[in-house]
Amino acid sequence: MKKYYVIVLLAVTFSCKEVFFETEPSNDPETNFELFWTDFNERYSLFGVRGWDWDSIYAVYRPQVNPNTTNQELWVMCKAMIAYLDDSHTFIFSRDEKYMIDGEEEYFFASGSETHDQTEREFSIDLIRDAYLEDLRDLSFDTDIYLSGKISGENIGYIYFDAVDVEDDRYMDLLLEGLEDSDALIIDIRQNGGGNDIVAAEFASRFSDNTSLTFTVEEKAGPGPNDFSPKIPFHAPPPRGRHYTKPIVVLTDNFTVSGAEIFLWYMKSYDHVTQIGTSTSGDFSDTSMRRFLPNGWQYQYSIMKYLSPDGQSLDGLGHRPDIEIRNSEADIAAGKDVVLERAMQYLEEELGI
Amino acid sequence: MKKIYLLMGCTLLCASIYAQSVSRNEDVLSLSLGYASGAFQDQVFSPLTYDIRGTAVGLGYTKHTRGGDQIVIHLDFVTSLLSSDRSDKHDTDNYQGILMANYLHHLNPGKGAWQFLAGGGFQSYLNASFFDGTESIAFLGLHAFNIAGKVTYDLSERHQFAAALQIPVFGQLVRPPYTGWNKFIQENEDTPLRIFTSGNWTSFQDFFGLNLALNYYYRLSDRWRLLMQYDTRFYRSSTTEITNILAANLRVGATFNI
Repeated sequence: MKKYYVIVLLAVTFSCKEVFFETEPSNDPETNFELFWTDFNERYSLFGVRGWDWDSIYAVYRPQVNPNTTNQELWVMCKAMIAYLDDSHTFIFSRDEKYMIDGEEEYFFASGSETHDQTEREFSIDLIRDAYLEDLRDLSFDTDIYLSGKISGENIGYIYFDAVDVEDDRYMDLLLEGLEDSDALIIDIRQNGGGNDIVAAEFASRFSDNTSLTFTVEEKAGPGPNDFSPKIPFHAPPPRGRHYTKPIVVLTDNFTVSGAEIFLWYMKSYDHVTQIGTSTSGDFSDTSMRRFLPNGWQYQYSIMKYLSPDGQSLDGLGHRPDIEIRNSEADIAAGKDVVLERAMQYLEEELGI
Repeated sequence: MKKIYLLMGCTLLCASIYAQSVSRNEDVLSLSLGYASGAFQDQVFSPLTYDIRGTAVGLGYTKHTRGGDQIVIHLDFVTSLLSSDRSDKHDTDNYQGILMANYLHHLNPGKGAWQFLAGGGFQSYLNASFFDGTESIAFLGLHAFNIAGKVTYDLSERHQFAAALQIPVFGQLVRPPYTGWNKFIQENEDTPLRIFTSGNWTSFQDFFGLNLALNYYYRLSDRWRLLMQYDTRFYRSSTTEITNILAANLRVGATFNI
């Protein structure tokens, strides 16, 4: 008799799963496509500010998917769908399979990354280190580069970092050490992949001269196109730590991304800061948690909307420089960084430094 | 909010003080260890349904009053892996913890084989999942007042059967935002306790929970009893997105009369 009680109990327990759990989506091409498209449709945050028509993407690609569509064919379509978004915070990757695309194995694709390789060839930290700097201090760790020094023969400080992601909030104090007496500072955030917005604010606080409203953030909070959380205001941080308010030039390129752009946003609210280089990437939002498809693919996307105090979005546009100038591959090959040299020229001609 | 926490604290403190004022002869400690299984679904986290496989550990303390009432404090922890039938690339670490403190009034004091107890208390349940470190996080927290009941049946002098049930009725429900990530979580990622205690006070309109434990005791000596336990736990919430967590644990252990 007792064993029947146990069987009944187990049946009751697992009937909860049958009664309450949602039906799990199957692993077929049409379901994977629908889940992928719908997830973006309901949670991606930038359709409105970027002016993208996601329904048009559905209209183009959905008819191409049928029960016989292969994963490789679906991969090509999903790639094209997120390429349309031109958002480097959006990517897809396959952990199960690799696909032959144009003769090359492929398992990862990031949207908005088409120009990154070219931008990378137009910059060389080794060139700057060897040809332009003295009193160099290398505070790099792991794979992240953090450098501090002076422009050779000038009383101009130079700081470079390629990430905004440190455990110690006071890291900028270390980078500024020995540069307090310089007449001006060049902060180079080219080829900076970003990191943490909190660290970006902490870095910027070392250069603060006001606490004005810098931007607002809204988070996607529901499936409708206008379902966003209330705006959270972010102000330029007040001065903290080692404080530097002499003229500053910030160097940027098209791979100044995300957390680096947040750092720059705060910096541009300070009166003593000038941006030289090219427009930044224009990818501000935090990314979603990793998303999952039944076929083993994973992906992420933007889930927030950053707006300037006047309600404008810089997503897709980036921060436009005060002085626009760009290296060519030939410049780098010739041992010249014309962006850095333009910054030095600006400091000399405009500010007499 | 602070008042409610204060109330909870006072409830637990009173229970504890009362427990210390009664007979010490029948206080019981229990420890159990076993296999955890179940199913997990959280649509904030993933459209997939995951199987739960892991290890469950439980620690209990029961104090009997002269009148036969019981104060039962139970701490349970499950560490497991969530795995999907659809792909083995989505495996996710999952942790469940629950602390329950209940006062149970003895409804039929006496020497009969059947004993019935009913009462209530407080439970704090936390379920957190971490994919690839923190690439994706899911959580459900429920810190709630619950009703509780217990039935024991003495099969013989050596054998006893007990069933205990808790159902949370009103509490603080903690769920991630719609996209699973927001500025609040980012700003407090180093202080997870703050995240896991930040929710809305609500009731059955937003959650359903159930904890059922079936225990079989075999008396080894005056102080020691062998314990075999089957416990099942089901939590469901439609806040943010639907989540269903079903746990079914089978374990063995021992109890010790202090």
